Amino acid sequence: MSNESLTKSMTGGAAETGENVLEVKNLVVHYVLKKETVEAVNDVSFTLKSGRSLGLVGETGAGKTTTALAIMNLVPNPPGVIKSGTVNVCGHEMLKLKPIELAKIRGADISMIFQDPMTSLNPVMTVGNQIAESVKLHEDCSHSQAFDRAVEMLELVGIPGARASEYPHEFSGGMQQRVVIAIALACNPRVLIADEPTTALDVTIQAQVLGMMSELKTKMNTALLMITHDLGVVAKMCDEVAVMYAGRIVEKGTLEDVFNNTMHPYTEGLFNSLPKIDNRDTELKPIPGLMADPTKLPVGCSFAPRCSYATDACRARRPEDRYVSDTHMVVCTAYEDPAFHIEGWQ
Amino acid sequence: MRKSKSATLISKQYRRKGFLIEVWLRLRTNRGAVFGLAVLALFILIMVYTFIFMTPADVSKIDSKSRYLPPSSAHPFGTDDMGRDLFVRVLYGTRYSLAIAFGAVGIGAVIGTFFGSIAGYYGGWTDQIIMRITDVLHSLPGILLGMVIVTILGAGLQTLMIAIGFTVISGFVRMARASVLSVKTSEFVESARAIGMSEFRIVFSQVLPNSISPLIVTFTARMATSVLAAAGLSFLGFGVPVPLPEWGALISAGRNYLTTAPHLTLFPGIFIMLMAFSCALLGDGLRDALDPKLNK
Amino acid sequence: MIRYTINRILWLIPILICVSFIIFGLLELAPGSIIDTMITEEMTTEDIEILKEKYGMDKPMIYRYGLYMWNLLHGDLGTSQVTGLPIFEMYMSRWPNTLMLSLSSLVVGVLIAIPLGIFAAKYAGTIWDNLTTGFTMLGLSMPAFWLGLLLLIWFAYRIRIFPAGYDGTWKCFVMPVIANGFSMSATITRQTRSAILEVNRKDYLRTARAKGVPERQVTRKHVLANAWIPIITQIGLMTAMTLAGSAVIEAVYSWPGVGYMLVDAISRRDVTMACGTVILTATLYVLILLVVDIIYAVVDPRIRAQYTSGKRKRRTA
Repeated sequence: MSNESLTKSMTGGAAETGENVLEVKNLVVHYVLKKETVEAVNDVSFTLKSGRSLGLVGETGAGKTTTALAIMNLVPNPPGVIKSGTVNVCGHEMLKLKPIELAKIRGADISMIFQDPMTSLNPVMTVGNQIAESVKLHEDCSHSQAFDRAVEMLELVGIPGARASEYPHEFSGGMQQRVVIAIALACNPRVLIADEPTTALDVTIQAQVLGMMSELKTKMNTALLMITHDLGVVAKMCDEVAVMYAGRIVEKGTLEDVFNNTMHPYTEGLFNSLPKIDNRDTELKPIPGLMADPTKLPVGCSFAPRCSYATDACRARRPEDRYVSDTHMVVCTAYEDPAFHIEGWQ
Repeated sequence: MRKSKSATLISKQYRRKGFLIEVWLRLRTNRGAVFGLAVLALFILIMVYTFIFMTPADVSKIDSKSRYLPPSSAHPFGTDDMGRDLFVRVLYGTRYSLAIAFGAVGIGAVIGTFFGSIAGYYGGWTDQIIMRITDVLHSLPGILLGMVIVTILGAGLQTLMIAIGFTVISGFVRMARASVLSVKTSEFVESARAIGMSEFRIVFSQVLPNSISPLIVTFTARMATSVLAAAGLSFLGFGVPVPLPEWGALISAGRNYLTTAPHLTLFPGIFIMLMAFSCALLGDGLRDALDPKLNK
Repeated sequence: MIRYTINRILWLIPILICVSFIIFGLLELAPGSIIDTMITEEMTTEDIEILKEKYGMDKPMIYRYGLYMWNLLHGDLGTSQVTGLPIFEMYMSRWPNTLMLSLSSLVVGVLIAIPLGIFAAKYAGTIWDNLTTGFTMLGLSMPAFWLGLLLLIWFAYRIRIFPAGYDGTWKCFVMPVIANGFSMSATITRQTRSAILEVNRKDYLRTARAKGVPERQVTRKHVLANAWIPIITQIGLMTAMTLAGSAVIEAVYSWPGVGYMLVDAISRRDVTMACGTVILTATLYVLILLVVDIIYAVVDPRIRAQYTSGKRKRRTA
């Protein structure tokens, strides 16, 4: 089967654009350790429609990966506990399913690409078998059919099919990441979570992998949740953006909303700490202070201690979700004052 | 420049103050390790006691009237075929096992680590020669090597220590070489070289201290196996010569009276076991304490 | 793979030459030689010279070693200086006894150890894990010969259900197998437990779960497939060690094996006998280690890749 016919057969089963394929509501995840509790994800909600892509942005430790793992119901327990919230993937309540039912959905309806390709592959299984394993689990087919599919998947991600019988250590980092992507896409999932898929790769390989992913996304009409701390990747890949800080979404909207009409002081801070390629004379303005300690989150807005606009009201109570347009949401108490606006980034 | 200097100062401070104390704090929470440490300390106390209060004459006091006595309040561990008090003999024998646990393994550790570090650090021909010799040593089963060495040098405590020391060398060579190799290419060694530190100083001030964790772990693990190996050699007659109350030798002597005086076999064995047990527990605890990542 | 095996076998030759030289040399250095035990008061110096010549003692050690190796190459290990019997045949007649004892202890040990290790890893941190750890620590610190003697006291002399020595029936295996197998199973249990716990932390298990592999299959295909590697190594090492180091247990049960034969030979200063026994045992030991290495390479593709072709470098993932 050629690539073309393969993708055609795959798109056949995919959902129409516009249907909600992922709904996360009020998700709270804590890591309960002996001495302290890490409040990794605090009341996160968002939805994702098929064919669309959402970028989840934030510093290291903001709770992005934990959110992703909770969606898959893969939070390591102990110490991780999903305290409350619901995750709905294509009509399945992920957090309520029995392990056996869960296994049927993972890999078929939703799959995930992990951060570090070097450690994400089983070293004693050939890459072909690792892809075929997924196919065999979710589709009624023989081993050789599954393996044929694995070979096709490899070619789809740009690896010669003949290398299917090789082991992970025989591939370079970029190639390994392609294999991880091939595993994730093998059963044509309707939702794909990509957790910093390019962080471990060289810049040139990054571009290749990203290009390939957006191409595949269009071909297969997959909904993509892209987790990254790289705003450039978001600009290239995503339709919508959600900015996370200390386990909360602080600003959410379309790419246009968040990038060109930035409202949250934290988002502004993120942009200001990026070098501007067209105006190198502008001074970088890093956000002062350190990421909030997730074991001792402040009572009010978690960002208040680092925020130059913070008022007593910010420190006193938790900010509420505020929709400034149909698509654009900002979680910031300062906007209670209608005259408030941030300086904006240059 | 100034920034990096203050950074190293800070890290040094943390290291100096923190490392051993932190290891100790972690070790203290491990009940097994604390038990092992306590038993070892008790053995050392017993040894000191026997050095001060016991003479060889006490230990070999023959009493033909009280032979093969079972344990009683007068003789807690009973008496042997010549009426000697087994309790006294077992206590006196502590020194041999401690000598093996610390001395013999120490010999092996010093020699092995020395050659292993050199092999790892200098590489090339030095490495090749040392490692090939180690391969040969490794190809000899420990107990055979031990028997052969004791045969050549004649039975005795020193010989036994050398024999046991020899059997543990290859393990230390490999361990030291591996950890030196992993440290050698690390960035802090690169930076030490960049500021012009001599090779010799690098090995001793940078490389070795950072290889200390695996060394300690290997050492304690070897202590346990060596106590057992030494007892085994003594049992076979390749250890401390007969009249001296080494535990393995005591068991060997008691072997002829299994039916009439089983206590002669029982008690020395319990002591060997306790010694090996405490070393093994301590070794396990140290391994976890030195590498907190493993302790999950 | 074949080239690797051939390579490793060729490596054995210098190692065995060194080993035999060391053993031969060391035993030669040992105070007292075979003729010392034969010299009597009434012998003249000439008689002693004749005796020396008979045993090659008038020639330098290196000559005797050369002669010895020459004969060895022709499969002739010479005869025992004490009994005059051919060494190779004696060794081979006793070797099956040692092999039987080692293998049965190993099989029993592994059969207990692997389920126990999996069990301990599954319940890591609970009371069951602690109990298993206690059991393994006991096994590691108990001298095998002492356990053997205790079993002897109880089962052979008190309740008399098993024979005290070798009698060729299955009954005589029970006690030595327990004495030998206890420490073995303790070691393998620990290795199994830690190997599984090590693999349990790996990211690729998460990948497997994320693609919908059911938990049972994760354990079977991903955890065990990786944890096997160190466990197999440990079992191989134990095999080599028991075959070589069975002397102590054989001494306890007067087992007609090669370990006991060696102890006997050394204590009688029977240099040819001791040398032959040590060389044969060391050869077997090295051969088993080789088999372990080859198995290791078969199970772990990363190791295999190091040897099969030089074109790709090993990537530590």
